[in-house]
Amino acid sequence: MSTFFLRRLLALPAVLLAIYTVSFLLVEMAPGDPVLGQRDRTPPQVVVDRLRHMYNYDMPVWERYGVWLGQYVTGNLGRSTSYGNQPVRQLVGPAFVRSATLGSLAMSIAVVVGTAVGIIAATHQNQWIDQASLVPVLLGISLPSFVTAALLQIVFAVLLVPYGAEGPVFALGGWPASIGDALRYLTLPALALALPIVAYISRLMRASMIETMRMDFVRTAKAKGAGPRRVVFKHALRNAFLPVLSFLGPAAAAVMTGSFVVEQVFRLPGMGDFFVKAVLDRDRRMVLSIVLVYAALLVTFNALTDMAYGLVDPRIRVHEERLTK
Amino acid sequence: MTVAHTGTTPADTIPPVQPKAQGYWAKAFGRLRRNRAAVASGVVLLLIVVGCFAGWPWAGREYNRINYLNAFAGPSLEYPLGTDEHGRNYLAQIVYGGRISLTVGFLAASVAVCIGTLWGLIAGYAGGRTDAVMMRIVDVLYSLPYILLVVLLTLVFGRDWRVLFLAIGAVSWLTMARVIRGQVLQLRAMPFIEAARALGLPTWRILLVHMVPNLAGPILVYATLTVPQAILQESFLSFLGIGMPPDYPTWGALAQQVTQINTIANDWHLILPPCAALSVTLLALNFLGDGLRDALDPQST
Repeated sequence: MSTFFLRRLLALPAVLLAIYTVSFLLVEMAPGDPVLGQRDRTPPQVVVDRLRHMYNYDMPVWERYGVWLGQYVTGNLGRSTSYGNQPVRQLVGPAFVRSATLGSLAMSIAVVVGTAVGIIAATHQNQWIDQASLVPVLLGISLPSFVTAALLQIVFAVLLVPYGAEGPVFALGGWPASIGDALRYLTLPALALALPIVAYISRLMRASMIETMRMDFVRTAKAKGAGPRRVVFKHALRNAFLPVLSFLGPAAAAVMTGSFVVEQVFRLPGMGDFFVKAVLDRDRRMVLSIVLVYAALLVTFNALTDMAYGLVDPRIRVHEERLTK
Repeated sequence: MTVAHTGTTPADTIPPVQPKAQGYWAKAFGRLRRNRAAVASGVVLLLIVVGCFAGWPWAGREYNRINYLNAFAGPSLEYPLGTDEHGRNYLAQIVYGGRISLTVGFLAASVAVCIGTLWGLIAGYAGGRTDAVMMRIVDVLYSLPYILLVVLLTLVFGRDWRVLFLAIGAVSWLTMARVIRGQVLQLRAMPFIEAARALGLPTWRILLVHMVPNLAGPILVYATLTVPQAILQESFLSFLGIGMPPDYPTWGALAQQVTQINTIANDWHLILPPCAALSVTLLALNFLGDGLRDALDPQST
């Protein structure tokens, strides 16, 4: 059993190294001069040489690969070329915390609401409430999140203003100063971000719940006199939740992508801004660092959900151990 | 529609007793035709595709002719959807943008289908360690945000529509690979594949001639479901300003005006058409894909 978890943990550095290598090569292949890219006039040769030295561009590619890898291992994200030599970590640190807060909020909403909608739809199959649960699903799959975000803004900042929606209840941009404020500032963006994932999770949960409710062990539970509530939450939910659990990794990736977009709509000073600007400025080191931070985060998250999966469903790890023997 | 393939479902291996046995595709088509949402979606999609590619005569061909004297005009007989901030014919832009969005979507989906099918075929047929490694790679890529890779690819190869659909296709093949591998694992155990192997056919022939026709169902289903994903991804990139070059009015780029406060306040006629076109197309593609799945693969529902 422990080999399953050990295997997942040991795979992490290997996966990250592979991601680093691929993104390093891609960033190296980008056209344009890494240090002169954004300058209107070419500075004197002395300055150019000094700049190249500062950003490790005076060494051969493979050496730079090694030096940067060493820096990343120690948690050093390097220095930005477009933001006047500031350390990337200091630059994006606060933005990262903001994006992560928004992302976790959206993920929590998506999982809780998606699971609840799915269970209700499954237990009231083909009744009006099941049909009604299609509304968030249709909205979630048919509208890009920047449109949903803007629609939320229109509803709460334009149409509902006479009823006191804006200001005291929902803020439209900027970042909360206190925890109490967080609800005001983050509710709408988190909702816009969560909607497509609510759509997916609720469908997944509905299908899986309907299937589980037909299984023998559920019938046994019912036969032994367990009430409907107990059957659903005590017996069926644990099994029915597995597909949702395995979707959490891709969902986290989707939230990240969505947050780039939603942050722009709500003018939240998050990672999205930095990443897009770094790409447009051809700030290679910053692009690489942001990619790696996200990759590390998501790969770790995915390994954790994987392990949770193995914990909930022992068949997975037994099967895998047999396969690799 | 081609002839029936024996061996797709266990029931097909025993010929049915009726005098006129219906083939796999005929049965599937019958099931699809009874699904009202799927049929309606198919019709709507057909209209959208014909409308965008044939071009309505009254949409006008000159989507990019600038006329500042007639900027922000409301809908009129000459310009059914009005004009934008540069006085350009908005309906023509929607039609032309739809052409680009749909093309990018379909091409990206085709790229994804090719990579995904090949990957799934090889992993499923090889089995063992190769399979384990290939599917672990898919697992890892699944959890990475595609947008980072697409952005890196556009950074390297420049902003060009060919780069865009290749990049989106290159990150959208994962579901396809998983589904195909699952199907191949089942097919591999079937007697007709064993027979092909016993005849000494080369592997590529077994894969392409004996496996792929039997995979046509799931390939069609997931290709249909990948197109809306690709269109959505293009709209995200357009929104961030790193998608298509600026002079291409894709639906995503046009819908992006919804986030501009002046446009919201004064020019609703600029916001509704691209949003509606985008969501109707995405919904129709999703419904059609679901309908195809129900029709072609009865056991999955």
